[in-house]
Amino acid sequence: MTDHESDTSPTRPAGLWEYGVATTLLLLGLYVAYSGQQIGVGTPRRMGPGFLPMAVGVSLAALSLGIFWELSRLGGRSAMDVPLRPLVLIPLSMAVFAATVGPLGLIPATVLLVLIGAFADATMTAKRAALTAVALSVIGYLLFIRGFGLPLSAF
Amino acid sequence: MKSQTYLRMAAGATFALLGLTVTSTSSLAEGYPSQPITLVNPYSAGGSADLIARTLAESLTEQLGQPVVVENRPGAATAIAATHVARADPDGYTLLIASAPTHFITPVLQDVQYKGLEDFAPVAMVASVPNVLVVSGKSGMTSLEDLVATAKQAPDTLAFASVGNGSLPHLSSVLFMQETDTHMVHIPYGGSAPAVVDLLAGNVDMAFLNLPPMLPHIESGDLVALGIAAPNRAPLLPDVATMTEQGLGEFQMSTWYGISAPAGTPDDVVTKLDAALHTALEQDSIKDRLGKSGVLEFYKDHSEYAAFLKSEATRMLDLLTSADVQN
Amino acid sequence: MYSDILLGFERALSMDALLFCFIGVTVGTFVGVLPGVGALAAVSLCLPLTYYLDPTIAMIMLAGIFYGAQYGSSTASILLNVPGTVTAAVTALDGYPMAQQGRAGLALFVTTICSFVGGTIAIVLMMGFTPVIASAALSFSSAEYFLIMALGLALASTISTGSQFKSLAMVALGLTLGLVGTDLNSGVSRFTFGRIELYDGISLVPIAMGLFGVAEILNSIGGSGSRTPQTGKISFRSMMPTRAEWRTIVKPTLRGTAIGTVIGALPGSGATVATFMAYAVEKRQSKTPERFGKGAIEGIAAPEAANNSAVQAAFIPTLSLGIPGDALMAFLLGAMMIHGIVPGPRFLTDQPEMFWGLVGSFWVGNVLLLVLNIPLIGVWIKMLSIPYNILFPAMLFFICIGVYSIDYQVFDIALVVGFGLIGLVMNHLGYPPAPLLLGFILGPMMEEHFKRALLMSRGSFSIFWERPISVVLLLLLLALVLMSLRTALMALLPTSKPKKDGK
Repeated sequence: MTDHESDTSPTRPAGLWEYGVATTLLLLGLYVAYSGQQIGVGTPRRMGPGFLPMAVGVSLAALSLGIFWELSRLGGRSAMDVPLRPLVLIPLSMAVFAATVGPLGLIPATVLLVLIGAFADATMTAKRAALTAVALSVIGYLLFIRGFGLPLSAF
Repeated sequence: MKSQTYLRMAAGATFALLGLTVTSTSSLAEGYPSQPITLVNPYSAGGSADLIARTLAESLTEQLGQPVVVENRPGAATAIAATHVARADPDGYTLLIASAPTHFITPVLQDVQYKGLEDFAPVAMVASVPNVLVVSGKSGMTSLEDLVATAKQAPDTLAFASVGNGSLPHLSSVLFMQETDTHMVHIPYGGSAPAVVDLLAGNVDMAFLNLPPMLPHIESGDLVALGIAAPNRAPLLPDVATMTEQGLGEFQMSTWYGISAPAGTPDDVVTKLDAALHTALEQDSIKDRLGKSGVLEFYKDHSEYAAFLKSEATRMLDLLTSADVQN
Repeated sequence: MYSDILLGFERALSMDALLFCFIGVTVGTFVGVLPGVGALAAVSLCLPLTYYLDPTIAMIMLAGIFYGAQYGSSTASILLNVPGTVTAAVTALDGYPMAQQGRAGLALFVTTICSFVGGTIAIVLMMGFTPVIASAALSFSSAEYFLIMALGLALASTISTGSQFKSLAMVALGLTLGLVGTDLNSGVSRFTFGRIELYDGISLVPIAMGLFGVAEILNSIGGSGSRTPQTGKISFRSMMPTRAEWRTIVKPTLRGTAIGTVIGALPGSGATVATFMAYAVEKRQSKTPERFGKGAIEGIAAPEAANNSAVQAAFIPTLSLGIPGDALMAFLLGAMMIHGIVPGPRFLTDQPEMFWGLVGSFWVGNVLLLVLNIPLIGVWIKMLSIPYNILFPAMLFFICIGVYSIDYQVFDIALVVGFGLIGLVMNHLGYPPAPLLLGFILGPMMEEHFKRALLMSRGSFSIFWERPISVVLLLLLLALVLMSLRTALMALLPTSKPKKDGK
């Protein structure tokens, strides 16, 4: 993570992403504060379940305004340069694992995870992906089903 | 997430169809069990329920000739495990360690995807853990009369601890306040451990809690046991009278554990499991193993258990109503 | 008492105890190293195995797995930025940058040594003062806990360099995430959207895994160049700190140990809070705070010492009061109760052999870990020479299965994915993840204790300054807040041109 910290040192005018995230935080804060108010704020002495949501929501919204101010004054990152390929394939591979590990079993889910996820890296070869899938399936089966007795079927 | 649910639903539907065909052709119990049975425990590893589950699973495995596997699925005040079992195929291969929260309390308090009692087929009652009324040793109170007298001085002079809204310790104290016509402040805790800390320090005055973990504190005098909230005295603490003996009516607030199957499980499967559980609980080795950690064998067959559940359901609902728990 | 201690050490040094202690710490280390699988998962998965062992041996083994996993999880977080436990997320803050600079061997060595020192000091304190510490711990009630947590939160704002607004917004976001679940006091469900998986709140592990592990994988594959971390030399020499480095870590280690022991011995807080606080304190008092987060060696020494001393100190309330401080201690307590042993005030006098046997085994275990881990450092570093396109699918796999193994919920895997994406965005835009984690951990505790304190006082706020401990804490808190405000105002005043923060 620190990898990128130096890049984030405000130098250029802030781009769409910076303002988008700050807006998201602002809206989230307002939503949380509103819900808190709906649930019941109570009084400071007898706080209702909505007291903290209200307080936290307001703080989040206020801080996001601070971020806006800072962005306009000091600038921020102009764009995010994240290649699309890993961004799509890695979440997809994990989602597929989550969806299949119950119905299909650990080994098919592992194979799918690796076969989809590994190609997030453009230099991946089919042979290497297949070998990794096999190796991880074996490790997963021995360690988690045999060893730890996780309630999962192998297939 | 969505696709996963659909897949599961599809799989469930297929199995349900298969299940139906099997049931209609022949009696299921003849070949039962022909595959491993899963016993789902709604509490985490290391607790009384886990011990009960594992001890019984071992004996059932021996008797039934198929592995009985304990699966801990804690969370959402037992709702995760209960929902899992309520939705499982009623074929006797998925069983639940049942308790008051799984059958009555959580379905009332939480917005869950199952209805409660009617979603389950009672198999047998198996064990109970007595609850004890303790007050802090620092409070200077030594008898139930002391407690009632102090509580009567003014409403909210005393505070009681619970392990959450609608928990058995909460409901027990609500019942206590009803029976004694008193009112105390409710202080909920995330579990019995932090509640005990504050009891020991005298920050909170009283609580109904599972007896076994309290024993060392009672012996050291840091906590004072004023009554057993069960029909009979506890073997671990024979000198402490029950609440009923001390004139508090039918004060039965033990933590009980039963085994329930999904509603619609064939009767002969239930009977077969019930018989195996009965045999298990007659064994001295099993009683010993449970007794060592303060769990009492408490067998009721499936029909007695069903009757018990029915009467408990109304009683718990009444208590929840008077406890005025939100949601 | 000395005869009891001797008896205990005799037990701890007996063949079977040594064997199971060794098995425990070894299993723990290896399980802990697996990215995504933490101590809690390891202990709960192994618990059933111990039902059939002698109680003392069972405890020795479980405890060994526990602190072995604590050691091990630092490894994955330093090398791969995938913390196995949440405390290891703190180690990742400076450990991972060190690994990227080719100083992985040094980071692992310092981790091992500081863990050993922290653990050992805590054990010594435990031997001498268990009853005293236990009764002192009881004088902390909700008002004091609330103030400690608030102190932690105030420190949290100082954890990261960069924009104060962004950092504080992440604290608030963490607090927001902590709101999800059933409110303890009212029983009302907040922000659960009807999903029972959320009734107990979002689990911590998927958040940590997502923000650190998955975000890092997304970053490294997509990232600009620095895909494979430099391996560095694996010679013993390169692992050894220089004389100057030794000097740098002595004080942080001792401060970390002190914080870890105090916070760890309180049954209501635990190792996570201690670790974060140790890091924040170290950064706060450092003359060069800008080095933190970029590979400062003190940034791993203090939290590692705090973590391991807290882990050992957490046994004090567990064994002497029968009160588990966290889920893990509850597991261990449960394991003892299954054998009919109920720890409590008289455990020390009634079961001296078991108590001292356990304490003895902790010490043996820490020595074994030291012996086991130093040679292993070379092996772990070799792991980095595995091509990244084999390593990252394996990391994904272990993260998925590790998260699943906590509660058997696929929902948690979905959360990891979500937090991975959030983490990626945060990472790119300079929103620090550590304050988020701390807000998430402390928020629910603060709310619980604040409300409880007011219930106890029947609504009177004076409970927060009635007792000496709370007065001291309150003053510390005020001082810290004023100092932070001052720094914040200084930074905001338009005295100079836009200046880069911390560079």
